Parts: sequence; C-alpha cells; structure tokens
Amino acid sequence: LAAVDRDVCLELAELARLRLGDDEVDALARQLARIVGYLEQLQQVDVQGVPEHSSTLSTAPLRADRAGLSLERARVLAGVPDAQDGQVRVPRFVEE
Amino acid sequence: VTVTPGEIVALPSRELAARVRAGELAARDVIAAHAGRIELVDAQIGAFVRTTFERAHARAETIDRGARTGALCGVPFGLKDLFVTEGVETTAGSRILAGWIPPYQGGQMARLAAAGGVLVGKLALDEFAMGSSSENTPFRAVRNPWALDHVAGGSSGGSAAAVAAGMVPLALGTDTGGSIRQPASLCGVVGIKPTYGRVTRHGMVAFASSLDQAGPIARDVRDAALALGVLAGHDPLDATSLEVPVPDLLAACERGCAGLRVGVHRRALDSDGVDAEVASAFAAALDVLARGGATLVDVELPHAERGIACYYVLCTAEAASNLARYDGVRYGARVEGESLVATYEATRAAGFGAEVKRRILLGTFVLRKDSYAEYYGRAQRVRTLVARDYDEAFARCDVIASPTSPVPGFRMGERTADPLAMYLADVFTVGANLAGLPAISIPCGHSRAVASRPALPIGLQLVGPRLGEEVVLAAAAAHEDATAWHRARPPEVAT
Repeated sequence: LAAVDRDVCLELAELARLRLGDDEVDALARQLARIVGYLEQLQQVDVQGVPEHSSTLSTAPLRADRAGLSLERARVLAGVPDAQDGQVRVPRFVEE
Repeated sequence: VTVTPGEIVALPSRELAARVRAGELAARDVIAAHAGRIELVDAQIGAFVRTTFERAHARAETIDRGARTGALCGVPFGLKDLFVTEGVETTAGSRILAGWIPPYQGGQMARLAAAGGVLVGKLALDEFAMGSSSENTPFRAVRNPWALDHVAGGSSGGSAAAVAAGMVPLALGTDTGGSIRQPASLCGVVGIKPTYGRVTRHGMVAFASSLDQAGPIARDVRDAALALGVLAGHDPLDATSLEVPVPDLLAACERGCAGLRVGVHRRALDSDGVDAEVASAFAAALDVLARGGATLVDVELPHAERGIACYYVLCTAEAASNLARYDGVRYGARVEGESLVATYEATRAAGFGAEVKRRILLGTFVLRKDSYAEYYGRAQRVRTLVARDYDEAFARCDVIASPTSPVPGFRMGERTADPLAMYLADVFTVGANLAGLPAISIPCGHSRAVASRPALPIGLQLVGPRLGEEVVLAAAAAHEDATAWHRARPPEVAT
C-alpha cells in the first residue's frame, strides 16, 4: 500500500494546485500518514464480488438540450475577480 | 393583547406563522423581537456571520401590508452560510469566497421565502462544512449556548446554536456525515437530515455531492416537520432530486409509536468511546419509546465500524474534486501570480484553511492512480455493504435508534490538534449519509454537572428507511410528547 511521506505530500499538493509553505509540509505529511493509517482498515473488508455504490447517482432522464438564458453575463461577471470587455481576465498561461 | 418580545421569541414557527396569518401578530414585531434577541446574545455565541435585518424588516412590512400567506408566514430563519443567497454575501466559511455576492437565488432560500419565511442572517460553520466543532474557520468559532467554553458541534454549529439560544425558531443546516444531527445533539435541539434527494441541493455549496443533504434545525419535532415539508419536493435544477410525492409530515407527527419496531445495534454501544451518561440517556430514551408501545429489536450493522474510514475516503475524494473550482478565476478572492498556475496555487494556498487543505490532499491521495483501487474503489464497495446492512436491518425494524454523538460535547480547542479524533465524532451519523437514509436527532437528556464538565444536552438519533421521513418523525414526536427535554433552555443565555 502507498504511504504518505513528505515527498508524496508535495506531489499531492502539486496535483491539487496547492502551494504549501515549508512549515506546513511536515505537519501535513504527519497528519495525513496517521489518517491514511486509519483508513487502511478498509483493506480488511471482504469486497469480493461487491459492486461500487451507485444509489445516489442520478437516474432522472436528461432534460431537452435547448438553448436558453440561465444567467445574464453581466451578473455572472460581477462576481468574477477580474473581468474585462465581457470576459474573464486571467494571467498569462501560454509561454511566448 | 400585547405580546412581549420575550414571548414572541419563545413561540414555535408554526405558532408564529398561524398568528401572523390570522393578523394577531405583526410580522414586523416578530422580526424586531428576534433581531433584538440576536443583538442581545450573539456576541457571546458567534452563531451569525452576518445579519440581514434591513432586508428582513422590508420583507416583514410587505407581509403586514397584505401578503399574509404561507406555512412559514413571517417566520424568521437563519441559513448556514453554505446556502447561496442572491444579493447576500455567501462565503461557505472560507476566505476563498470572501466578498462573493451570488448572482442567483439558491433553491432552499427560494422555497423558504415563497412559504413566507424571512431570512434574518447567515450562520457560522466549519469551512466548507468540513468539521465537527465549527472551529475550522478563519472567522469566529461558535460557542455552545449551554456551556460557552464548549463547542456547538459542527459543521452546522451556528445553525444549532442560534436555535438553541432562541435567536431564531428555525435554521437550515447541511449534513454530509452528521453536520445537522451532531450540532443539534450538542446544542439540545432537533435536526433532521432527509433522504438523499428529498431536498434540493441547488444553491448549496458542494462539499461531497453524493452525501450532502440540506435539512432544518428547530426546537421541536413538529417545527422541523413543518420546515421539511416546505423544503422537500422535486427540483429540476438538481439532477439527484427525487421525483416523489411529499407526504404530510406534520400529520405523521401525530401517529405515535405504538406498534413500531425500534432496532438497536447493541454492539456499537459497547465500544469504549461511548460516554456512560450518553449510554444511560439512550437507555432511558428507549424506555420512553417502549412505554409508548414500541417494540425493541436487536439488529446487526456488521460494517458500521468501517463507516468512518469509508466516509473519509469518499468525502475527501469528492471534496478534492468539488473544490477544484476555487481557483481565483471564477469567484471570490484572487492572489495574483506570475502565471495562471501560480495564481491558482497562490489563491488556494491563501484562501483555504488547514482542514480544507488536509481533505483536498487526502482526497487527491485516494484518487490518484497508485491508490485509487485500494482506497476510493474499495470504499465505494464498502459503501454498498453499509447500505445493504441497513436494508437487511429494516426488514426487521421500522427505525434504528442510537445516540447521535458518543459524547455529550467537548471543550473548545480540545480536538483541534488531532484531526482523526475529530473525525471519530461522526461514528453514529455517517451511516445514514453513506446509505442515503433519513435521520433525526432529538434531545433525550442532559449530562450531570460535575467538576470536570458542565451539564450538556444529549441527543437520540433515529434512522429510517429510504423515504421513511414519516416513521422517523412519528417516533421522534412520540418521544418528545412523553418528555420535556426539548423545553429546556440554556441557562447562560436566558433572558
């Protein structure tokens, strides 16, 4: 079974887009290792032939795919941290 | 007849609504009395993160001018700040959403308002509903009205504390693993988590979508039933909302418990984590039901002891996925970085608190390729086994009784350094979420005041089969009718 140490913790943080401070990493790695140790008890359960749970998945038929106005653009953009000319503005994400 | 503000805040929701509809009470007086109570006592407790008195007074004026209709006509209520409210800041208890003014109305707020309810404020919670003490917050931790150095429970701690302290007769909470029932238990009030899909999730900030469900917190069972009747029913804006009729839940409260088979999973009570006073209050509650004509039957829930592990794998996996949307681009606060990825990372680092980061990392761990099969996939199978256990138990009984919380409460700060100890607080409540079942917590006793601990409320949990809200409410109301625990008020915040 995979365990959690400092390196795994940093890898998880990168996957989750969380920048961790040096002071946070050690404590988090310790806590996660302890919690994962507790979760390992699931390995003792016999799940042979048992399907994954599904009763909370939607069984409703899909609604008709019709174009319509749900929210006006201006109202949505009013809650966006940075918008310009009716669009969301973000920092550069393509290298020159 | 003049009704004093003190008398008004003591009235249940159904009585307030009836009097406002009949023109015997003005909605503006109802709102003013509760606003006064909030201003008087909330400084001690910290249940509200913001109040909406100005809007509430305006709504009350409209009601008094002629719109005197609805099951909750003129009834003041508070919403956990996980519920979206159009035009009213909604933060989910997180810095990352600070300042976010929702551009749309949430389904729960819309239904309560359409029934004549009046929002008086948003209530404190653990950040993104992740916690069992309402201490995981960048804002103020909530104090228990019964003992101000004790937690109110969580994550709907503000909702339970506001109702317990008489600030509102009705509040909404959300329950992913016990977050309505456990704070209701710790604060001595009633809280019900409906069947998954019974109440819309539209307008509820998502934590773990396959487990999250909204429900009311009130001072007695009938008020909870009244509010649940307003909230329940199909909503096309939530794909998991059930298209089933809503029964008359208030009528169900009058059925009594004669002939009901009450299941008890004895083995769970023998664990050393169960406080002796909780065990004896629970035994007394079973006696009350038996005297009302119920039959007690032993049931087995063989996988119940794996519930916490199963729950924390699944809820963190879903949280890691749901919380990916908080990236500094779409809502709330942004911390600008030199690139888009750096902006995501800096925004999330600054915006999320420690417990939220822990759960996102844990969820990322159980979902990543190396551990997916052994953690997430396996937990999904264990969830099936937990649900089957309940199906088999309900072949032998109508409701399953247990304590809501293994302990009456704990001190502020007592468990914050140990996340795993905090998780174990949910041992009796997570099963109903994993299986999608309705469950209620009602007051059933108080611990004795001793040198090491003040007197604290104790809660009884009743779990019903899928869509079995009626039988849950019938048993709960029968217990309530034979006891007086729901009439006790916290001494430290009494008027």
